[in-house]
Amino acid sequence: MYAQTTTHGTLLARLSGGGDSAAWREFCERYEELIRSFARRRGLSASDCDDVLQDVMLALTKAMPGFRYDPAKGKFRSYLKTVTLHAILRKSRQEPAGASLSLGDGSVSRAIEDETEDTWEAEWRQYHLRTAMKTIRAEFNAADLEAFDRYGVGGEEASAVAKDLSLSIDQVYQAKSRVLKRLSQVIAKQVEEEG
Amino acid sequence: METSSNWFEDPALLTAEVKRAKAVRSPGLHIRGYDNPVELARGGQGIVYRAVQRSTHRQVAVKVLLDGGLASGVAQRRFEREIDMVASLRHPNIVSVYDSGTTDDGRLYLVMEFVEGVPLDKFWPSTPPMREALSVLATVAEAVQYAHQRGVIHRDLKPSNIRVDSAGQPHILDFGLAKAASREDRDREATLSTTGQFMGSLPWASPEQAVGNPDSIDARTDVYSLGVVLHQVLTGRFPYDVTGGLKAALDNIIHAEPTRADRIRPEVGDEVSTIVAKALAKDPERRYQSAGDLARDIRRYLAGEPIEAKRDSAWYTLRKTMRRYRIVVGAASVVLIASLVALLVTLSALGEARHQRDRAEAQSARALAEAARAKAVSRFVETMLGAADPGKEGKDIRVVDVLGPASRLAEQTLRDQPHARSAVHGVLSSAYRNLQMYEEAVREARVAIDIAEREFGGKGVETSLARTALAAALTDMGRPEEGLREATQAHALAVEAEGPDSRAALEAQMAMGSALDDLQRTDEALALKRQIAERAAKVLGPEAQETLGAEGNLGRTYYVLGRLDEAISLLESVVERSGRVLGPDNIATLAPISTLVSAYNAKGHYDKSEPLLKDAWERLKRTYGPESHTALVYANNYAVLLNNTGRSAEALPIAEQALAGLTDLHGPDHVTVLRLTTLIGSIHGRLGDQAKQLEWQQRALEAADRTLGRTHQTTVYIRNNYASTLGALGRYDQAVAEFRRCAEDADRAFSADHSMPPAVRYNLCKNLILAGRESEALDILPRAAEQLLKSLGPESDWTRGAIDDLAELLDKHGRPEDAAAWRSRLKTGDTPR
Repeated sequence: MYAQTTTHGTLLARLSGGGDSAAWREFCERYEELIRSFARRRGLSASDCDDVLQDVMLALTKAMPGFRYDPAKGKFRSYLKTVTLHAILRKSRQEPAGASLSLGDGSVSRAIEDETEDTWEAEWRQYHLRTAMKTIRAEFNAADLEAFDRYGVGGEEASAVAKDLSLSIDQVYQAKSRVLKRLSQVIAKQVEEEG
Repeated sequence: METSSNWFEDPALLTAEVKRAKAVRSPGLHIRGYDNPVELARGGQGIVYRAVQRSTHRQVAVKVLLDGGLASGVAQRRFEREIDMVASLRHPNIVSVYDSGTTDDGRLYLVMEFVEGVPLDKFWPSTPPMREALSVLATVAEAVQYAHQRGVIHRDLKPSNIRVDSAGQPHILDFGLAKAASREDRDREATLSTTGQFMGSLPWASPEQAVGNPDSIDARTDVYSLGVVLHQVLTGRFPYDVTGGLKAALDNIIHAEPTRADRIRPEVGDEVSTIVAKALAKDPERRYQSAGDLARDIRRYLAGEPIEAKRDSAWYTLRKTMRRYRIVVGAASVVLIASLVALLVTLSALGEARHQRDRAEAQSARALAEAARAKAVSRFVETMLGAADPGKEGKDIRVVDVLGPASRLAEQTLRDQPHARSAVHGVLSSAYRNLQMYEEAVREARVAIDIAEREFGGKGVETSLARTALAAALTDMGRPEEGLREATQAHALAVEAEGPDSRAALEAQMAMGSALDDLQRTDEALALKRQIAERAAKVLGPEAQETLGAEGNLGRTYYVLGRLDEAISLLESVVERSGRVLGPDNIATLAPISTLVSAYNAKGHYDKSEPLLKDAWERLKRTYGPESHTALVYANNYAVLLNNTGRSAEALPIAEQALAGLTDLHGPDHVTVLRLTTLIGSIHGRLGDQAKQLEWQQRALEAADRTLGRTHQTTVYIRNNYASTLGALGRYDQAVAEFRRCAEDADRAFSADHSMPPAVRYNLCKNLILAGRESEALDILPRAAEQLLKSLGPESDWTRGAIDDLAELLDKHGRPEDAAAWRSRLKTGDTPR
């Protein structure tokens, strides 16, 4: 039913078999932007992000052959997060020489907000959205997509959008709700498969 | 069912998510993270926009390259590799590259510092004042030298690439871009092969570029172009006719004797004309050998000193060593490793050429051999990258995919070139070492050694380099004794082959230094680092940037080891020379200042550190902007200093601004943010606002434990502060427990002669005394006082506090002689009886 050719589950199964370089390539393509933008949001430079990506992929090369795929536990997602976070921390520890804190300053401090979880979740949502949009683009015609984009997302007047696209106002409403509904379905399926 | 809890099932949340996805792309210029693009200019290379970087709110220039032929994987990788190197340049006279990538429609772009200014040849309305023009050009040459030292050659220097701001400061644009954006996958350089740029850059091209021989382009190519610019700015004309047809212009560049500058404009004078003529020598060997040499001669002229002749060739060798060393240290990504291989192989080819020259072989034979070698090397690098290319998608190559085939390829492609072959295996060894794949690193090093044994009888510089690679790998895999043995051998071989000042000898010494560090043979390690610094001073002179760098490093080592007096006297001298030679605004001057400030602070010399730090911060704000990372870090350091000297109210707004800026820049979990959070807490504490203090500190500590680990130095500081607060609230037993844990961690986080472990133990003792556990304190405090005295000296507040408390305690326990002996040490620093 779905346009995606390889499911996440199949991909993981192929990876845990080891030695499937096509699977690796696909895996990298899928998760590259997620890892990169997560690293980016935590203050790393572009080239540091490359290093983080490299690190994560290397760690996974070692870990995947024995990786047990268990959809019930949501293991992969938190595993990937942990590996990525470690790679980022290793990078951020390489501090420039200028950042020094004076010796034993004997008093107080306020808390650090730990937004790691939020940031990761936000990037994860974007990852699913991007992946789903690829499927959606293959399924809907250009006018419907533009109607969704301008009326549903951009907040333009339905009548103006309808006029530009030579659609009826009803068609614009429908396009919006159909795309949104399908998007929701595709993401639900992706999330279910991901484990 | 948990329908309502899933974001993708709620139309409003889902729509918001789609909006967010849309928001990260800006209209017109589809580059994530950059808003409000305004087109500034269109040129032969592409379109330049001004835009706002969302994360920092700063104005940037975005250059989107025309896409002719750049879509191929090899070209794109070359672009990224080049830009990676360019992006590492940080110099006030070089326009910084912040970011690069591919737009949604597949064009390459770079994001640069936005500079307002006019092209150099438009800066002066008529004939420029001589001295002013010379000074600007010396600054330009110094900036070019800085880039050369980091392995980046401009290749397209001309007035339109040099912008002068209203303060008269030059800013060089498009460093390395000519190579990065070269459209051909073959080895041709862009400068003369890309049609759009061809005519625009021709008048400033060097003879080697005009001949079309990309293999011979090096730093001296930029020196030549600087010579043309110099001639043009001083006289208003080109040194030879470039206005005719293409062929005539090329002919003139290659053959025509440049008109001396003073023949066109007599007031230029003989000396300056000589400088220009030397930069414009057709044969690179007869030019200034570096942009730095050119700059120095201009400066000498401006200072009324005699201009200098050609310098020692050892100078060049050391420069290369240092450059290579820096790159090896930072190599982690595949692009860097790839360029490293290319660089090193080329260097080794140059090395061989030099050997042959020494043997005075026939000129033609030498030229032929060099050409063949250059070809073989470039073929090797290309095949290596090609072999690792996963499909034709132009995706990043994984390092492991590159290294294995590279090793095999070296055997085939470079079969008859043992010098290059052993060098390649040596590089592969350090690449594996950087990936922490030590078995493989050792294996590659041993292959290199085998080649050297077989081909060069286990002697010479090749064997030395191979043994150095093995030494480094052994040390890093936790076998420093063996590493030291190999490195020592390597050093002896290098000294025998090329003398103690050679590249190979210095590399071996650096490897010996790391092994000694790991063996905790601190004194020997230090002695060695001292030797490297001295050697640099001897060979390059006390004012060379490399010497200053090596001495700055040594000073930092002293500081880290807690040897503050030595750190201070060395760093004071480095800062003085660096400020004079490189200018006070140069980033290279700021690193030693930072360490010097820390050393002053540790000794309690706030009167010296305060003005130094304030001045550095002001300069950084002016040079890099108040929201730059470096300026914010200095704001942090300055706030720390103010807070420590009782000026907490002044510190608070500075620290708050710095926290906001750094959080914007790095996100909330970055180490500097953690440090600033701690600092602001401390400031509030000093201002008397103690509410919730403990609770917050505890959370900071938990985060540090989790993200940095217990034995990270920052975690140790935070734990110490947390325990102090427990004590301040009268919860002494808890404080004691936490300080004990902290002291253990400090022993592991800091070296034995650092002041932090005894400082923590002194805090522990204070709380033991307050808890009424004086005899426990008496067990610990003497040793802590001893160590504080040793690491911080008798003048430090910490030492005084510890000794005062100890003496008081001894008095109280009926030991007044011991107490008096300790007190006397505060005056003399002698050992007590």
